[in-house]
Amino acid sequence: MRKAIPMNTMEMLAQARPASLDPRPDPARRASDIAAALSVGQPEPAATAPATRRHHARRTRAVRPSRKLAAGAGLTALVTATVAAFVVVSANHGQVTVDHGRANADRGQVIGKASLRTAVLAALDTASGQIGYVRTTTSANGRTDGVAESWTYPWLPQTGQEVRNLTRIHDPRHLSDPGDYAETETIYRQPAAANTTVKAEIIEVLFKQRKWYEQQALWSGPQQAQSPSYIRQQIAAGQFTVAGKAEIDGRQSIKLIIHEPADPGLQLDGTLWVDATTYLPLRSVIKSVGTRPGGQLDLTTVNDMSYLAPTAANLAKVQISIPAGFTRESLP
Amino acid sequence: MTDPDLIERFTSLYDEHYPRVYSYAVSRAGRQIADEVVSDVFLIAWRRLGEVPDHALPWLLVVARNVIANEVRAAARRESLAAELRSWQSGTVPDIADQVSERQAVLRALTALSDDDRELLTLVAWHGLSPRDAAQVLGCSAATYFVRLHRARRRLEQAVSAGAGGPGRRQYVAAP
Repeated sequence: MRKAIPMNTMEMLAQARPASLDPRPDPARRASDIAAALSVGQPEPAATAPATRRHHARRTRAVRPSRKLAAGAGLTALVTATVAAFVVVSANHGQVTVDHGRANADRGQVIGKASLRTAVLAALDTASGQIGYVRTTTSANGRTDGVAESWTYPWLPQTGQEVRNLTRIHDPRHLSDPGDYAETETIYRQPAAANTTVKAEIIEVLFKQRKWYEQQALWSGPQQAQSPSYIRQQIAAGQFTVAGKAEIDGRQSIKLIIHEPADPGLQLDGTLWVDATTYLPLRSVIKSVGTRPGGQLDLTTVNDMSYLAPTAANLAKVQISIPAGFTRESLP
Repeated sequence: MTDPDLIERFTSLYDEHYPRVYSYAVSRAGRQIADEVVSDVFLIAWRRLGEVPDHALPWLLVVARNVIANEVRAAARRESLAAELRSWQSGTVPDIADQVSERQAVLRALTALSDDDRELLTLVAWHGLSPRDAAQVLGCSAATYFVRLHRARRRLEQAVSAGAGGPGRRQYVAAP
Protein backbone atom coordinates (compact mmCIF):
# COMPACT_ATOMS: atom_id res chain seq x y z
CA MET A 1 0.00 0.00 0.00
CA ARG A 2 1.36 3.36 -0.97
CA LYS A 3 1.96 5.84 1.77
CA ALA A 4 0.11 9.17 1.43
CA ILE A 5 2.32 12.05 0.44
CA PRO A 6 2.41 14.48 3.37
CA MET A 7 1.32 18.04 2.72
CA ASN A 8 4.07 20.59 2.66
CA THR A 9 4.24 23.23 5.34
CA MET A 10 2.72 25.99 3.25
CA GLU A 11 -0.28 23.87 2.30
CA MET A 12 -0.84 22.92 5.93
CA LEU A 13 -0.55 26.55 6.88
CA ALA A 14 -3.00 27.62 4.18
CA GLN A 15 -5.52 25.09 5.45
CA ALA A 16 -5.07 26.29 9.01
CA ARG A 17 -6.18 29.82 8.18
CA PRO A 18 -8.46 30.94 11.05
CA ALA A 19 -11.98 32.03 10.19
CA SER A 20 -11.48 35.08 12.40
CA LEU A 21 -9.54 36.68 9.55
CA ASP A 22 -12.72 37.02 7.52
CA PRO A 23 -14.74 40.15 8.14
CA ARG A 24 -18.43 39.85 8.76
CA PRO A 25 -20.68 41.74 6.39
CA ASP A 26 -21.42 45.04 8.06
CA PRO A 27 -23.01 47.72 5.89
CA ALA A 28 -22.73 50.28 8.67
CA ARG A 29 -18.98 49.78 8.80
CA ARG A 30 -18.69 50.21 5.07
CA ALA A 31 -20.76 53.36 5.18
CA SER A 32 -18.79 54.80 8.07
CA ASP A 33 -15.41 54.02 6.53
CA ILE A 34 -16.33 55.59 3.22
CA ALA A 35 -18.01 58.55 4.88
CA ALA A 36 -15.01 59.09 7.14
CA ALA A 37 -12.64 59.05 4.19
CA LEU A 38 -14.68 61.36 2.02
CA SER A 39 -15.15 63.81 4.86
CA VAL A 40 -11.46 64.70 4.82
CA GLY A 41 -11.85 66.41 1.48
CA GLN A 42 -10.25 65.96 -1.87
CA PRO A 43 -7.39 63.53 -2.43
CA GLU A 44 -3.97 65.07 -2.81
CA PRO A 45 -2.05 65.00 -6.07
CA ALA A 46 0.16 61.98 -6.60
CA ALA A 47 3.41 63.45 -5.38
CA THR A 48 3.85 62.22 -1.84
CA ALA A 49 6.68 59.81 -1.23
CA PRO A 50 5.97 56.64 0.74
CA ALA A 51 8.30 57.88 3.44
CA THR A 52 5.64 60.35 4.57
CA ARG A 53 3.02 57.71 5.31
CA ARG A 54 3.31 57.97 9.08
CA HIS A 55 2.77 61.65 8.82
CA HIS A 56 -0.40 60.96 6.86
CA ALA A 57 -1.58 58.45 9.37
CA ARG A 58 -1.30 60.94 12.16
CA ARG A 59 -2.75 63.84 10.26
CA THR A 60 -5.81 61.98 9.10
CA ARG A 61 -6.29 60.47 12.53
CA ALA A 62 -7.28 63.84 13.88
CA VAL A 63 -10.26 64.19 11.55
CA ARG A 64 -11.40 60.58 11.60
CA PRO A 65 -14.53 60.12 13.70
CA SER A 66 -14.22 57.55 16.42
CA ARG A 67 -15.54 54.05 15.89
CA LYS A 68 -18.14 54.66 18.56
CA LEU A 69 -19.40 57.72 16.77
CA ALA A 70 -19.45 55.97 13.43
CA ALA A 71 -21.32 53.01 14.79
CA GLY A 72 -23.77 54.99 16.84
CA ALA A 73 -26.37 57.61 16.52
CA GLY A 74 -23.92 60.16 15.21
CA LEU A 75 -23.53 58.25 12.00
CA THR A 76 -26.39 60.01 10.33
CA ALA A 77 -24.87 63.34 11.09
CA LEU A 78 -21.54 62.10 9.84
CA VAL A 79 -22.89 60.95 6.51
CA THR A 80 -24.94 64.10 6.24
CA ALA A 81 -21.86 66.17 6.81
CA THR A 82 -19.95 64.06 4.36
CA VAL A 83 -22.36 64.20 1.54
CA ALA A 84 -23.01 67.85 2.27
CA ALA A 85 -19.65 68.48 0.74
CA PHE A 86 -20.99 66.98 -2.46
CA VAL A 87 -24.36 68.65 -2.54
CA VAL A 88 -26.49 68.19 -5.60
CA VAL A 89 -27.87 71.43 -6.87
CA SER A 90 -28.97 71.00 -10.41
CA ALA A 91 -29.52 68.39 -13.02
CA ASN A 92 -29.94 67.79 -16.68
CA HIS A 93 -30.21 64.93 -19.11
CA GLY A 94 -30.25 62.27 -16.45
CA GLN A 95 -27.08 63.41 -14.79
CA VAL A 96 -27.00 65.56 -11.75
CA THR A 97 -24.69 68.48 -11.24
CA VAL A 98 -23.08 68.74 -7.87
CA ASP A 99 -21.47 71.62 -6.12
CA HIS A 100 -18.56 70.53 -4.00
CA GLY A 101 -19.22 72.95 -1.23
CA ARG A 102 -15.90 72.48 0.50
CA ALA A 103 -13.33 72.13 -2.20
CA ASN A 104 -14.93 73.38 -5.37
CA ALA A 105 -17.49 75.94 -4.34
CA ASP A 106 -17.65 77.57 -7.73
CA ARG A 107 -17.22 74.53 -9.91
CA GLY A 108 -20.16 72.36 -10.79
CA GLN A 109 -19.42 68.68 -11.26
CA VAL A 110 -21.51 65.91 -12.69
CA ILE A 111 -22.38 63.02 -10.42
CA GLY A 112 -22.93 59.75 -12.16
CA LYS A 113 -25.47 57.10 -11.44
CA ALA A 114 -22.88 54.92 -9.73
CA SER A 115 -21.88 57.66 -7.30
CA LEU A 116 -25.49 58.42 -6.56
CA ARG A 117 -26.14 54.74 -5.95
CA THR A 118 -23.23 54.61 -3.50
CA ALA A 119 -24.40 57.72 -1.67
CA VAL A 120 -28.01 56.57 -1.40
CA LEU A 121 -27.03 53.09 -0.20
CA ALA A 122 -24.71 54.56 2.41
CA ALA A 123 -27.49 56.87 3.58
CA LEU A 124 -30.01 54.03 3.72
CA ASP A 125 -27.65 51.85 5.70
CA THR A 126 -26.89 54.71 8.01
CA ALA A 127 -30.57 55.33 8.73
CA SER A 128 -31.42 51.65 9.05
CA GLY A 129 -31.68 51.84 12.84
CA GLN A 130 -33.90 54.88 12.90
CA ILE A 131 -37.66 55.11 13.10
CA GLY A 132 -39.13 55.58 9.66
CA TYR A 133 -42.22 57.73 9.39
CA VAL A 134 -44.28 57.44 6.23
CA ARG A 135 -47.40 59.38 5.40
CA THR A 136 -49.25 57.64 2.62
CA THR A 137 -51.97 59.20 0.54
CA THR A 138 -53.83 57.10 -1.97
CA SER A 139 -56.08 58.33 -4.70
CA ALA A 140 -58.16 56.74 -7.42
CA ASN A 141 -58.77 58.65 -10.63
CA GLY A 142 -57.53 61.83 -8.96
CA ARG A 143 -59.71 61.59 -5.86
CA THR A 144 -58.09 60.99 -2.46
CA ASP A 145 -59.50 57.87 -0.95
CA GLY A 146 -57.19 57.06 1.90
CA VAL A 147 -54.62 58.53 4.25
CA ALA A 148 -52.35 56.52 6.51
CA GLU A 149 -49.39 57.29 8.70
CA SER A 150 -46.94 54.67 9.84
CA TRP A 151 -43.96 54.51 12.13
CA THR A 152 -41.60 51.56 11.73
CA TYR A 153 -38.68 50.62 13.95
CA PRO A 154 -36.11 49.76 12.87
CA TRP A 155 -36.72 51.32 9.53
CA LEU A 156 -34.53 48.92 7.57
CA PRO A 157 -34.36 45.78 9.72
CA GLN A 158 -31.93 42.92 9.41
CA THR A 159 -33.30 39.46 8.72
CA GLY A 160 -34.71 37.98 11.92
CA GLN A 161 -34.79 41.31 13.74
CA GLU A 162 -37.96 42.22 15.59
CA VAL A 163 -39.86 44.97 13.82
CA ARG A 164 -42.53 47.19 15.30
CA ASN A 165 -44.90 49.06 13.10
CA LEU A 166 -47.70 51.35 14.10
CA THR A 167 -50.06 52.40 11.35
CA ARG A 168 -52.78 54.98 11.73
CA ILE A 169 -55.43 54.71 9.06
CA HIS A 170 -58.03 57.35 8.50
CA ASP A 171 -61.32 55.92 7.36
CA PRO A 172 -61.49 56.74 3.67
CA ARG A 173 -65.23 57.31 3.90
CA HIS A 174 -64.84 59.90 6.63
CA LEU A 175 -61.62 61.70 5.94
CA SER A 176 -63.16 64.94 7.09
CA ASP A 177 -63.70 63.48 10.55
CA PRO A 178 -60.32 63.59 12.32
CA GLY A 179 -61.60 61.31 15.08
CA ASP A 180 -62.49 58.51 12.73
CA TYR A 181 -59.36 56.48 12.46
CA ALA A 182 -57.86 53.18 13.50
CA GLU A 183 -54.42 52.33 14.78
CA THR A 184 -52.74 49.00 14.29
CA GLU A 185 -49.62 47.87 16.04
CA THR A 186 -47.86 44.98 14.33
CA ILE A 187 -44.86 43.17 15.75
CA TYR A 188 -43.06 40.62 13.62
CA ARG A 189 -39.64 39.32 12.73
CA GLN A 190 -38.13 40.49 9.50
CA PRO A 191 -38.31 37.69 6.94
CA ALA A 192 -35.33 36.82 4.77
CA ALA A 193 -37.21 37.35 1.52
CA ALA A 194 -39.54 40.10 0.39
CA ASN A 195 -43.24 39.40 0.02
CA THR A 196 -43.12 36.67 2.63
CA THR A 197 -45.99 36.08 5.01
CA VAL A 198 -44.85 36.24 8.63
CA LYS A 199 -46.41 35.49 11.98
CA ALA A 200 -47.29 38.72 13.69
CA GLU A 201 -48.83 40.02 16.87
CA ILE A 202 -51.43 42.56 15.93
CA ILE A 203 -53.39 44.97 18.11
CA GLU A 204 -55.95 47.20 16.48
CA VAL A 205 -57.78 50.09 18.09
CA LEU A 206 -60.86 51.64 16.45
CA PHE A 207 -61.13 55.11 17.92
CA LYS A 208 -64.51 56.08 16.56
CA GLN A 209 -66.08 52.85 17.75
CA ARG A 210 -64.10 52.91 21.04
CA LYS A 211 -63.08 49.27 20.81
CA TRP A 212 -59.97 47.18 20.24
CA TYR A 213 -58.91 43.66 19.52
CA GLU A 214 -55.79 41.60 19.56
CA GLN A 215 -54.71 38.66 17.48
CA GLN A 216 -51.78 36.61 16.35
CA ALA A 217 -51.98 36.18 12.63
CA LEU A 218 -50.10 35.74 9.45
CA TRP A 219 -49.22 39.08 7.97
CA SER A 220 -48.12 39.87 4.49
CA GLY A 221 -45.65 42.57 5.51
CA PRO A 222 -45.42 46.14 4.31
CA GLN A 223 -46.48 46.82 0.76
CA GLN A 224 -43.49 46.10 -1.38
CA ALA A 225 -43.30 49.30 -3.35
CA GLN A 226 -43.15 51.46 -0.25
CA SER A 227 -40.95 49.26 1.89
CA PRO A 228 -37.43 50.53 2.50
CA SER A 229 -36.08 47.05 1.78
CA TYR A 230 -37.57 47.24 -1.69
CA ILE A 231 -36.20 50.72 -2.29
CA ARG A 232 -32.77 49.58 -1.18
CA GLN A 233 -32.94 46.49 -3.35
CA GLN A 234 -33.81 48.49 -6.45
CA ILE A 235 -31.12 51.08 -5.81
CA ALA A 236 -28.49 48.42 -5.10
CA ALA A 237 -29.40 46.63 -8.31
CA GLY A 238 -29.12 49.87 -10.25
CA GLN A 239 -32.76 49.61 -11.26
CA PHE A 240 -33.25 53.34 -11.54
CA THR A 241 -32.66 56.29 -13.79
CA VAL A 242 -31.62 59.73 -12.58
CA ALA A 243 -34.32 62.08 -13.80
CA GLY A 244 -33.17 65.45 -12.56
CA LYS A 245 -33.79 67.65 -9.57
CA ALA A 246 -36.89 68.77 -7.80
CA GLU A 247 -37.96 70.60 -4.70
CA ILE A 248 -39.98 68.59 -2.21
CA ASP A 249 -41.52 70.66 0.58
CA GLY A 250 -38.77 73.22 0.21
CA ARG A 251 -35.95 70.69 0.16
CA GLN A 252 -33.65 70.12 -2.77
CA SER A 253 -33.96 66.58 -3.99
CA ILE A 254 -32.91 64.26 -6.79
CA LYS A 255 -35.60 62.55 -8.76
CA LEU A 256 -35.13 58.90 -9.62
CA ILE A 257 -37.30 56.73 -11.79
CA ILE A 258 -37.45 53.29 -10.23
CA HIS A 259 -37.67 50.50 -12.73
CA GLU A 260 -40.51 48.38 -11.49
CA PRO A 261 -40.61 44.70 -12.36
CA ALA A 262 -43.03 43.87 -15.12
CA ASP A 263 -46.42 42.99 -13.74
CA PRO A 264 -48.87 41.56 -16.24
CA GLY A 265 -52.14 43.41 -16.19
CA LEU A 266 -50.83 46.29 -14.14
CA GLN A 267 -48.70 49.12 -15.38
CA LEU A 268 -46.52 50.46 -12.57
CA ASP A 269 -44.62 53.72 -12.59
CA GLY A 270 -42.45 54.40 -9.57
CA THR A 271 -40.66 57.65 -8.82
CA LEU A 272 -38.43 58.31 -5.86
CA TRP A 273 -37.05 61.59 -4.62
CA VAL A 274 -33.97 61.50 -2.41
CA ASP A 275 -32.78 64.43 -0.34
CA ALA A 276 -29.92 66.16 -2.13
CA THR A 277 -28.08 66.65 1.16
CA THR A 278 -28.66 63.44 3.10
CA TYR A 279 -29.48 61.17 0.14
CA LEU A 280 -32.31 59.65 2.16
CA PRO A 281 -35.63 58.98 0.42
CA LEU A 282 -38.07 61.85 0.86
CA ARG A 283 -40.99 60.81 -1.28
CA SER A 284 -42.08 57.98 -3.50
CA VAL A 285 -44.98 57.98 -5.88
CA ILE A 286 -46.34 54.81 -7.36
CA LYS A 287 -48.81 55.10 -10.16
CA SER A 288 -50.64 52.14 -11.54
CA VAL A 289 -53.13 51.87 -14.31
CA GLY A 290 -55.65 49.08 -14.22
CA THR A 291 -59.15 48.50 -15.40
CA ARG A 292 -62.47 48.27 -13.63
CA PRO A 293 -66.00 47.75 -14.83
CA GLY A 294 -66.91 50.82 -16.78
CA GLY A 295 -63.49 52.23 -17.39
CA GLN A 296 -59.87 52.72 -16.45
CA LEU A 297 -58.68 52.95 -12.88
CA ASP A 298 -55.71 55.19 -12.21
CA LEU A 299 -54.31 54.59 -8.76
CA THR A 300 -51.69 56.81 -7.20
CA THR A 301 -49.88 56.25 -3.92
CA VAL A 302 -47.75 59.01 -2.47
CA ASN A 303 -45.40 58.17 0.41
CA ASP A 304 -43.77 61.04 2.23
CA MET A 305 -40.91 59.80 4.37
CA SER A 306 -38.96 61.18 7.29
CA TYR A 307 -36.74 59.72 9.96
CA LEU A 308 -36.71 59.91 13.71
CA ALA A 309 -33.92 59.04 16.11
CA PRO A 310 -34.86 56.07 18.30
CA THR A 311 -35.19 58.08 21.50
CA ALA A 312 -37.59 56.95 24.21
CA ALA A 313 -40.05 59.66 23.21
CA ASN A 314 -39.96 58.67 19.56
CA LEU A 315 -40.13 54.95 20.28
CA ALA A 316 -43.38 55.61 22.11
CA LYS A 317 -44.85 56.51 18.73
CA VAL A 318 -44.34 52.90 17.62
CA GLN A 319 -46.24 51.55 20.63
CA ILE A 320 -49.99 51.52 20.62
CA SER A 321 -51.91 53.05 23.47
CA ILE A 322 -55.40 51.83 24.27
CA PRO A 323 -57.47 54.57 25.87
CA ALA A 324 -59.32 53.77 29.09
CA GLY A 325 -62.91 52.74 28.61
CA PHE A 326 -62.43 51.12 25.24
CA THR A 327 -64.01 47.69 24.88
CA ARG A 328 -62.00 44.65 23.92
CA GLU A 329 -63.74 42.79 21.14
CA SER A 330 -63.46 39.16 20.22
CA LEU A 331 -62.58 38.42 16.69
CA PRO A 332 -65.33 36.87 14.66
CA MET B 1 -10.68 63.04 -13.43
CA THR B 2 -13.81 64.51 -11.86
CA ASP B 3 -14.56 64.26 -8.17
CA PRO B 4 -17.41 61.77 -8.60
CA ASP B 5 -15.00 59.61 -10.55
CA LEU B 6 -12.64 59.73 -7.59
CA ILE B 7 -15.45 58.70 -5.26
CA GLU B 8 -16.36 55.84 -7.53
CA ARG B 9 -12.79 54.68 -7.76
CA PHE B 10 -12.39 54.86 -4.03
CA THR B 11 -15.57 52.94 -3.26
CA SER B 12 -14.58 50.29 -5.79
CA LEU B 13 -11.17 50.07 -4.17
CA TYR B 14 -12.81 49.70 -0.79
CA ASP B 15 -15.30 47.06 -1.93
CA GLU B 16 -12.64 45.02 -3.68
CA HIS B 17 -9.91 45.11 -1.07
CA TYR B 18 -11.56 45.64 2.29
CA PRO B 19 -11.78 41.91 3.16
CA ARG B 20 -8.10 41.29 2.49
CA VAL B 21 -6.90 44.43 4.22
CA TYR B 22 -9.05 43.42 7.19
CA SER B 23 -7.59 39.89 7.16
CA TYR B 24 -4.08 41.26 7.09
CA ALA B 25 -4.88 43.66 9.93
CA VAL B 26 -6.32 40.85 12.06
CA SER B 27 -3.33 38.59 11.46
CA ARG B 28 -0.87 41.35 12.29
CA ALA B 29 -2.69 43.28 14.97
CA GLY B 30 -5.69 41.27 16.16
CA ARG B 31 -9.39 41.84 15.86
CA GLN B 32 -9.52 44.40 18.65
CA ILE B 33 -7.84 47.08 16.59
CA ALA B 34 -8.26 45.69 13.07
CA ASP B 35 -11.22 47.96 12.34
CA GLU B 36 -9.20 51.01 13.37
CA VAL B 37 -6.31 49.93 11.18
CA VAL B 38 -8.58 49.38 8.17
CA SER B 39 -10.20 52.79 8.65
CA ASP B 40 -6.78 54.45 8.71
CA VAL B 41 -5.62 52.54 5.67
CA PHE B 42 -8.55 53.66 3.58
CA LEU B 43 -8.32 57.21 4.85
CA ILE B 44 -4.75 57.29 3.59
CA ALA B 45 -5.80 55.59 0.37
CA TRP B 46 -8.38 58.33 -0.19
CA ARG B 47 -5.92 61.10 0.51
CA ARG B 48 -3.37 59.56 -1.83
CA LEU B 49 -5.70 58.06 -4.36
CA GLY B 50 -3.58 59.31 -7.22
CA GLU B 51 -0.70 57.17 -5.98
CA VAL B 52 -2.67 53.97 -5.60
CA PRO B 53 -1.65 51.66 -8.45
CA ASP B 54 -4.15 49.62 -10.41
CA HIS B 55 -2.81 46.51 -8.72
CA ALA B 56 -3.63 48.02 -5.37
CA LEU B 57 -3.45 45.27 -2.78
CA PRO B 58 0.32 45.32 -2.10
CA TRP B 59 0.18 49.11 -1.83
CA LEU B 60 -2.70 48.92 0.66
CA LEU B 61 -0.91 46.28 2.72
CA VAL B 62 2.21 48.41 2.84
CA VAL B 63 0.08 51.22 4.24
CA ALA B 64 -1.53 48.80 6.70
CA ARG B 65 1.88 47.59 7.75
CA ASN B 66 2.99 51.14 8.50
CA VAL B 67 -0.21 52.04 10.26
CA ILE B 68 0.24 48.99 12.49
CA ALA B 69 3.86 49.92 13.10
CA ASN B 70 2.84 53.36 14.27
CA GLU B 71 4.18 53.56 17.77
CA VAL B 72 1.11 55.50 18.91
CA ARG B 73 -0.88 52.30 18.88
CA ALA B 74 1.91 49.90 19.84
CA ALA B 75 0.55 49.02 23.28
CA ALA B 76 -2.96 48.44 21.99
CA ARG B 77 -1.56 46.37 19.18
CA ARG B 78 0.45 44.15 21.50
CA GLU B 79 -2.61 43.45 23.62
CA SER B 80 -4.87 42.87 20.62
CA LEU B 81 -2.41 40.64 18.82
CA ALA B 82 -1.71 38.58 21.91
CA ALA B 83 -5.46 38.00 22.32
CA GLU B 84 -5.73 37.01 18.67
CA LEU B 85 -2.87 34.56 18.86
CA ARG B 86 -4.23 33.06 22.07
CA SER B 87 -7.50 32.44 20.26
CA TRP B 88 -5.62 30.62 17.49
CA GLN B 89 -3.72 28.55 20.03
CA SER B 90 -6.75 27.60 22.03
CA GLY B 91 -8.88 26.85 19.02
CA THR B 92 -11.65 29.13 20.23
CA VAL B 93 -12.00 30.65 16.81
CA PRO B 94 -15.09 29.07 15.23
CA ASP B 95 -14.05 27.07 12.23
CA ILE B 96 -15.34 23.92 10.65
CA ALA B 97 -11.84 22.48 10.69
CA ASP B 98 -11.44 22.90 14.41
CA GLN B 99 -11.36 19.19 15.01
CA VAL B 100 -8.26 18.67 12.95
CA SER B 101 -5.41 18.37 15.38
CA GLU B 102 -2.83 18.95 12.67
CA ARG B 103 -4.37 22.29 11.96
CA GLN B 104 -4.16 23.24 15.60
CA ALA B 105 -0.56 22.12 15.71
CA VAL B 106 0.30 24.38 12.79
CA LEU B 107 -1.49 27.31 14.36
CA ARG B 108 0.24 26.78 17.68
CA ALA B 109 3.58 26.55 15.92
CA LEU B 110 2.85 29.71 13.98
CA THR B 111 2.10 31.66 17.13
CA ALA B 112 5.47 30.59 18.50
CA LEU B 113 7.34 32.22 15.62
CA SER B 114 8.47 35.81 15.46
CA ASP B 115 6.23 38.52 14.03
CA ASP B 116 8.47 38.72 10.98
CA ASP B 117 8.37 35.01 10.25
CA ARG B 118 4.63 34.90 10.75
CA GLU B 119 4.13 37.77 8.33
CA LEU B 120 6.44 36.20 5.73
CA LEU B 121 4.50 32.96 5.81
CA THR B 122 0.96 34.27 6.00
CA LEU B 123 1.26 36.88 3.25
CA VAL B 124 1.34 34.03 0.77
CA ALA B 125 -0.48 31.25 2.63
CA TRP B 126 -3.38 33.27 4.06
CA HIS B 127 -3.58 36.52 2.19
CA GLY B 128 -3.11 35.09 -1.27
CA LEU B 129 -0.27 37.33 -2.39
CA SER B 130 2.19 36.25 -5.01
CA PRO B 131 5.80 36.09 -3.81
CA ARG B 132 6.54 39.24 -5.81
CA ASP B 133 3.65 41.12 -4.15
CA ALA B 134 4.66 39.79 -0.74
CA ALA B 135 8.19 41.07 -1.35
CA GLN B 136 6.75 44.46 -2.23
CA VAL B 137 4.79 44.56 1.02
CA LEU B 138 7.91 43.70 3.00
CA GLY B 139 10.03 46.16 1.07
CA CYS B 140 12.55 43.65 -0.21
CA SER B 141 13.44 41.97 -3.49
CA ALA B 142 11.70 38.79 -4.58
CA ALA B 143 14.99 36.90 -4.24
CA THR B 144 15.44 38.10 -0.67
CA TYR B 145 11.86 37.21 0.08
CA PHE B 146 12.39 33.63 -1.12
CA VAL B 147 15.45 33.23 1.09
CA ARG B 148 13.63 34.57 4.11
CA LEU B 149 10.56 32.47 3.32
CA HIS B 150 12.69 29.35 3.12
CA ARG B 151 14.13 30.04 6.56
CA ALA B 152 10.74 30.85 8.02
CA ARG B 153 9.33 27.60 6.67
CA ARG B 154 12.14 25.68 8.30
CA ARG B 155 11.44 27.35 11.62
CA LEU B 156 7.72 26.63 11.27
CA GLU B 157 8.44 22.96 10.54
CA GLN B 158 10.69 22.78 13.57
CA ALA B 159 8.04 24.40 15.71
CA VAL B 160 5.42 21.97 14.45
CA SER B 161 7.71 19.03 15.19
CA ALA B 162 8.50 20.37 18.65
CA GLY B 163 4.82 20.86 19.37
CA ALA B 164 3.95 17.35 18.20
CA GLY B 165 6.07 15.83 20.95
CA GLY B 166 3.67 16.60 23.74
CA PRO B 167 0.48 18.34 24.75
CA GLY B 168 2.23 21.31 26.25
CA ARG B 169 1.73 24.63 24.50
CA ARG B 170 4.06 27.51 24.31
CA GLN B 171 2.69 30.64 25.83
CA TYR B 172 2.84 33.35 23.23
CA VAL B 173 3.85 36.84 24.17
CA ALA B 174 3.55 39.35 21.36
CA ALA B 175 6.78 41.01 20.43
CA PRO B 176 7.03 44.66 21.42
